[in-house]
Amino acid sequence: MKTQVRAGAVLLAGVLAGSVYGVTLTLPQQQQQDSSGQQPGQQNQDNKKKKDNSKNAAANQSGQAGAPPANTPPPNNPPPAGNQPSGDKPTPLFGGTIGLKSSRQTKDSATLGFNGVDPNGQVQKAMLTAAATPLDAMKAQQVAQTTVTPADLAQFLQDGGLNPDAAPQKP
Amino acid sequence: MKLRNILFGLLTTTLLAQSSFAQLGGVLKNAQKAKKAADIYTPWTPEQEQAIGQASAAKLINVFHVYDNPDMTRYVNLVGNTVARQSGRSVLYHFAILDTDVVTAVSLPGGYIFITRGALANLHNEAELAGVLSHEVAHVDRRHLEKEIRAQKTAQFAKEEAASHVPAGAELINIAGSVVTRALTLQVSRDKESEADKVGVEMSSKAGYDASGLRNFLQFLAAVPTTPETKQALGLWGSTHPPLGDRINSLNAVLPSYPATGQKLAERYAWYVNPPAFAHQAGPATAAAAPAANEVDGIVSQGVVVITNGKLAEGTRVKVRPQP
Repeated sequence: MKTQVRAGAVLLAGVLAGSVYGVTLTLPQQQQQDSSGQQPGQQNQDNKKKKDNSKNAAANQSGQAGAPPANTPPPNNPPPAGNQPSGDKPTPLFGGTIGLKSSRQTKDSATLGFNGVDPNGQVQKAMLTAAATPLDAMKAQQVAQTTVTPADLAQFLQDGGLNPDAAPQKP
Repeated sequence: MKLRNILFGLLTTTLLAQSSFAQLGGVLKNAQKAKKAADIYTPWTPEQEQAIGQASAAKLINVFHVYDNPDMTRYVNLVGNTVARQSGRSVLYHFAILDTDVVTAVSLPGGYIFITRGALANLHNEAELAGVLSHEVAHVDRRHLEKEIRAQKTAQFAKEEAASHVPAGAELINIAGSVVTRALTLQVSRDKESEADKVGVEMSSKAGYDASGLRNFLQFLAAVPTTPETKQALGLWGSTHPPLGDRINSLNAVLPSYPATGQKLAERYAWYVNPPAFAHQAGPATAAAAPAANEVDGIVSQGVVVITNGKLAEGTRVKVRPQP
């Protein structure tokens, strides 16, 4: 009986001690997980690759070239709803035999047109790790300043036969 | 008897120690869970969201560049704001076109929404554009990307000590990098995508558009044959969104509850987004060939031929021969 009690007590103490260790080991693991969630590539900007300058040049060229497509104002009167294609099957906008179209027309520009992605359509890693340039920041600032005036929007909604009422704003 | 007492004493001490360790462990675990939950659900302030959004926009522009076409950009902004005003959350939205043939659209915190030149070239009417943009507006409205960033703690900003200030400098660059990397390489969770589809459809419909615009565009993409070119154009869309078939099925389930009388506005779309419009903004190497002598390029809009390239003297009589 004495032996059984001793054996039971030792076994119980061992199990309990094991569970205590289990708890104390779990905490550092969680902390490790938290810190490993940060992307290492984001930490060191100095190691990031410089972007190809020629790409910037091409973008500048395309941004500066040419005038807006038409000098005439947008159509004031929307076509009647009945004139809209209804239940129409999507058809290529630019014509052609393949299902997907490029907005550029020549072979050279089509290659240039897929800027930023590899043949599988995935963004190149070098692109993701490169830092934005001051020119990029300036362009983003321009985007931030892009707005439409209430008057323009009202006219646009009216022309298109769209709903002039906005949803109530949430806080 | 003495030995038994010692054993019981040891056992009791061990039990007490285990109990307090377990309690301490539980308290720490709960505190961590609570903090993580707070990180996830404490939204960025408007100032934080704006700063992160604009820095992320700069990073995205670094990857793809902005397509600088004022007329087309203005049109995208008009359509985008038409659906965004049905979203509810007070955000000043900014829409821009990315200069790539890749077919995709990206939303960033702070109301920065980008659609690619390649996507515009493959949409068929304004309702489809509204559908795509409203899906992206829904992501911003519901703070989807922000929640994913905070939940995954991929940004320094998710740390408690940074939650009370507007990030700047290297910290902001790191956060912007995380945001854009996530937006361009990972899917937001399936339930968030599904929510964005459904909320987007609702916004489009409330704005007065045909609610099936997004579904129709997804159907078009699903039918595109796989070629090296289409793989390159659609790879990003595929890797950052759930399978097209799943989304189409989900949308088919909700569309009958919306009126079928919404506007499609195919002609207005074609007026703003068309080959000559793109060609005018292309660089010298890619500009459309000048029309031959005594010829101009044009497009029919609202029953009127609009000249898009070249000039004719006032009063010139013309004959129009449609091109395929």
